[in-house]
Amino acid sequence: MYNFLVSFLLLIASGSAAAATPSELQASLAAQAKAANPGFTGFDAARGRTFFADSHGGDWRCSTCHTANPANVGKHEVTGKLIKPLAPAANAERFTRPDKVEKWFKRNCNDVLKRNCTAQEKGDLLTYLLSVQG
Amino acid sequence: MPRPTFIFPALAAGATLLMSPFAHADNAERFTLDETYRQECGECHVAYPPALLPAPAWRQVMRQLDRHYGVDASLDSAMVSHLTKWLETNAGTNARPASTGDAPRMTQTPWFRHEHEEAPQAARRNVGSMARCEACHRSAAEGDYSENTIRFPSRPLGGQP
Repeated sequence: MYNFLVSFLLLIASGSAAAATPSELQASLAAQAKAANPGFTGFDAARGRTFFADSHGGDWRCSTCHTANPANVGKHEVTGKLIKPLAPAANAERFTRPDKVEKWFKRNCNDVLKRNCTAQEKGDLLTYLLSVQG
Repeated sequence: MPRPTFIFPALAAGATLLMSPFAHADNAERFTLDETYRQECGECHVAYPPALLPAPAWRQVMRQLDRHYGVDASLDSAMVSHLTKWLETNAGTNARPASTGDAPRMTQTPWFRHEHEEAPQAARRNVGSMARCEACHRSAAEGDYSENTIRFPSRPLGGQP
């Protein structure tokens, strides 16, 4: 009975932590992208790289805070707070918590693009970030 | 046994001291931060002590997270609810913010200005924004603003003010 209770609680705990790998997130985004566009042909790191550096018609780019090289430590443009590297090769915590990933995509896509990013765009970005050496 | 005529004034003086914001000076400079608040509201800037703003100002901040001083700081509704309750409970009572536009400015309350009157001009120039508490208050991340933890930066911090 005690063992059951402990494993039950751990199961609940691990469920709420909801850890994932970047590859699992990529697969999930691919499914979403395909659902949104039957003509989906996959993600592209080069497209993600361009997207990361582009101004998208606004004042900020992804690189404004995360710097031109996502393996670098970044810096918040307004507060000066240091930001740990975005590339998983440089920071193993990145893209392992789906809830965190969603939170920051929602915020930062609004900051940079004034809209949500599509699953295609998120997937291209993630594919680019996974290609960056630590 | 002291004469009865001394007891009442002594009690009154004691009660006044206890009600004064400076009665427990050390504790007034060390703020216990809700752990969720420290994590969620300390990712981009230091997690500010809730005493810096009154409850209505905090409620306004929490209603406008998608337009949070120029950036989107959205959180899910359960999180907003939890944090708002904690902020309301621990909000300041003597800080009345001036608003510039639609957002409360905690660094521009009479109380805040008074507290920072003695901050040297050179340090202010080096820090830039008074909202970068940790630049001088080296233990701000733990909610500790006691005087012996203050060290002024000797060089400009850089980045935007």
